[in-house]
Amino acid sequence: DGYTLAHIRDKYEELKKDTTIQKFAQWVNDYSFNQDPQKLQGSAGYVLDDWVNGQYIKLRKKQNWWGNDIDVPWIKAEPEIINFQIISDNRTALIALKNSKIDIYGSIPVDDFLILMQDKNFGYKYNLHHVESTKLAYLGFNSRLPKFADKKTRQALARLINYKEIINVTQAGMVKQAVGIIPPIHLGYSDPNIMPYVFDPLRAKQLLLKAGWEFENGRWTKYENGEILTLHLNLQFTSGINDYESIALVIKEAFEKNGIPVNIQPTESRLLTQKLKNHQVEVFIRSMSMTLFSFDYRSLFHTSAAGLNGFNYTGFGNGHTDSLIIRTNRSTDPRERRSLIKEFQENFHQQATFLPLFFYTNNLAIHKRLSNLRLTPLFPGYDVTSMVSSVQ
Amino acid sequence: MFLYLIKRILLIIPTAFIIVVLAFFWGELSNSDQAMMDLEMDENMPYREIDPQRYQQAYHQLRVKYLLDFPPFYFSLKALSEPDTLNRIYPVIHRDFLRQMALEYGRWDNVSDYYLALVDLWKTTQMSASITQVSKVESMFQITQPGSIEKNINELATWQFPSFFSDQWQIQVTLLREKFELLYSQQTIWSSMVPIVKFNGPDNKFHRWMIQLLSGDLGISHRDREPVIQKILKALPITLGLTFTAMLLIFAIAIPLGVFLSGNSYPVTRNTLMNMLLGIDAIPLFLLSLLLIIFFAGNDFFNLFPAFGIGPNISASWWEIFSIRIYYLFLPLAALTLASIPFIARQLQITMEQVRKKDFITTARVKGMKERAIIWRHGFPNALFPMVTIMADFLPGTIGGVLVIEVIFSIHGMGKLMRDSVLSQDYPVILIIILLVALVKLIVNILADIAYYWIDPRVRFG
Repeated sequence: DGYTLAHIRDKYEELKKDTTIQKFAQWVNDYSFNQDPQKLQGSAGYVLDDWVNGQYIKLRKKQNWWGNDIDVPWIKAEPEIINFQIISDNRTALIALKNSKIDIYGSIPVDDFLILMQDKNFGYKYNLHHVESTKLAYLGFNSRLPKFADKKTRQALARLINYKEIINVTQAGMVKQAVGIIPPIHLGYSDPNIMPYVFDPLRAKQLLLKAGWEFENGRWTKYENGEILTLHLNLQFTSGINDYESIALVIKEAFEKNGIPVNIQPTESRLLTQKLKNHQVEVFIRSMSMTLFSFDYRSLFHTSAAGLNGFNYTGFGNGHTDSLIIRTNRSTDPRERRSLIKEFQENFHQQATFLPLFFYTNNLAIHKRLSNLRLTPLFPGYDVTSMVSSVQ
Repeated sequence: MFLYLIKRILLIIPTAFIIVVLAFFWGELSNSDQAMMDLEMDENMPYREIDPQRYQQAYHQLRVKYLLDFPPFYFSLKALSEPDTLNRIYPVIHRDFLRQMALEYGRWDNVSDYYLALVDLWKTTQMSASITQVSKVESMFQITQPGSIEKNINELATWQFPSFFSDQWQIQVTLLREKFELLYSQQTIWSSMVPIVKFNGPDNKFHRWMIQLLSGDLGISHRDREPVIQKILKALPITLGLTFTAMLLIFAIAIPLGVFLSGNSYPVTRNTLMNMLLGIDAIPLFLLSLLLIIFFAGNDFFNLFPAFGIGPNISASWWEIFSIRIYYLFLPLAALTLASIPFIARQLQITMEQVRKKDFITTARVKGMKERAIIWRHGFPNALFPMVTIMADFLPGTIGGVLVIEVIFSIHGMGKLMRDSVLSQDYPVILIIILLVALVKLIVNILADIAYYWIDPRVRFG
């Protein structure tokens, strides 16, 4: 009592020394806010009932919840109990699924999903769903490096990527190539007029020649500012992720056939992030979950985020794209926003520093006794609170 | 024997101290910036953009909290040219750059002047230059070779800007060049080859960490801010229960099996068992676990046991809880037991075969003792020595947990805790687990010595 947000804003230095504020900060930062059911209370329809670290989390429906009287599809609390089981091994999870020990399993790996689709016995008990998600796999070029500084070079390299092969190898052909950063499910905002880059080595060579590269003795070189640049790639990605490794191998094969050596470097996750922030990575494969609710790309694609420790790892952007980002955020007219976002996407595509590959899908198995499904592109791909069981 | 034990127990202290120091330095070598990781975990990115100054303040507060501004140990070994206060420089890449420059050129005052001139230039560039130009200036924080620095400065001098900015730019580039030329002309390389040892006193990270440790404060997990001791107290009983039970089963089965295999009777049965054991021994633990799940927890064969977890937390009698746990842990126990029985049975078999040939066994037979009594009363105790050694190696594993089993069966024991901590670089947890395993190993070795003496009183210790 007696403290306001205005106080914190205007008298921050003074309040830092206030013992009451310090005690409050310690209380809020205490780990019990992550664990104590009495403190973990929200306005949604469930409370934390029981949990065992690393095993399960059980939620229980609130009895006098305000949402019970509201007839809105996304404000629901149908199941009495929701039990999230934590199963760290995929094989074990699949066996539990086949034994009907779990009702819903999301994020089923593609290969296993295909096998389940063929399994008739499984099909008697479960429905399989394939929902496009907002998680995007992409390839990034560090455009700060002289060899990638030229847009034509990057566009050429974009045409040396066999997108179909990547999708076949990693997603069994079950997804489409992404053309932008906005999920296609976001109707009216993703731009259908942008032509995706296709695998076209001939056009790639033409662009490289236009960018000043010469092909001699089996490699591409360029003379710039008194230096001879050689076109080769150090391709990094988080180690342990099979999809990234497969993508890297497909890229390596295509690039090396066209005279561009590729050195694949799987890197530990935190180390890779650190190197990306220090701009020590040349080319990288990553994924990112794009939001459906905001087009604020300042922290990702504005030039102010392109410095050390910023999230604009590729160095994308210029004055014009910065202006588009800012104007999009400020605009309150939906038509103007759509137009600005489309223009931004076109610029984004032209710059080719950040190459979208595909959007992942949420591969779900849901028991047939559950109805009133609400499938969503947001992780985990379903809204469990709306589901109704035919067996009580 | 008593004096020997006292000596061994007292030796635990310096041994444990050395292990603590090594574990601590292993954590230091990771060079992770926990303060930065904390800020990013809290998703403070917008905060960083809105109020960079307060973001910096928060960063420095966290550095104080994690003792990152303190020297690591009681004394520091460094080059004469290295300053004391490098660990306060942010970002980390600038710190590394300054260290390299100090080692390359020697004179810290000149290095500092050059660095400050470069920082000013960098800040100026961020206001009015393109991304490529900003990146170019940023890249100079990684360049220490004089030829490359000069080349870059020459390039910076050629950049054109609008007139209102151009003068300031040229002044700053000229200043940078002057600072570099002074740095280069006055370099004292010899000072980077002179090692000095600086005594830091108790104001160091290790001392503070040890004080905390000795007072029972094992630290806070970086991942979720839970006290480390609570994390371990949740995981340890599960692992202890699992591996102690497995150990009892292993020895209960492997010992009679090993003794039986060392005999001459029932050759067909013995050969069959030997081949089965060899077959099981050839299967890796993870594959064995998966096979057990497929055969005994899957619908395709015998759906008898659960495939994951340890069962629900319920309020019931100890017997009911025990029954539930055994039901859920049956397959993990089976996997652990089957994986270890072949080795132990085989070791005992080999030892017993040698013991059976000894003279005292022949004497016992001649005296008319029954074969069973000869083997178990006279032969087996002489074969126990290697068993004690095997057990002494097995027990520390109970603390480290059986990682493969715990991951496959989703059992949140010490192995899984260690794995999750390593993946998330949760060093406070990793350090304590290492110390725990080391301590258990030391204690178990003493217990093994006592066991040797109890088995064979002829054993004398120096």
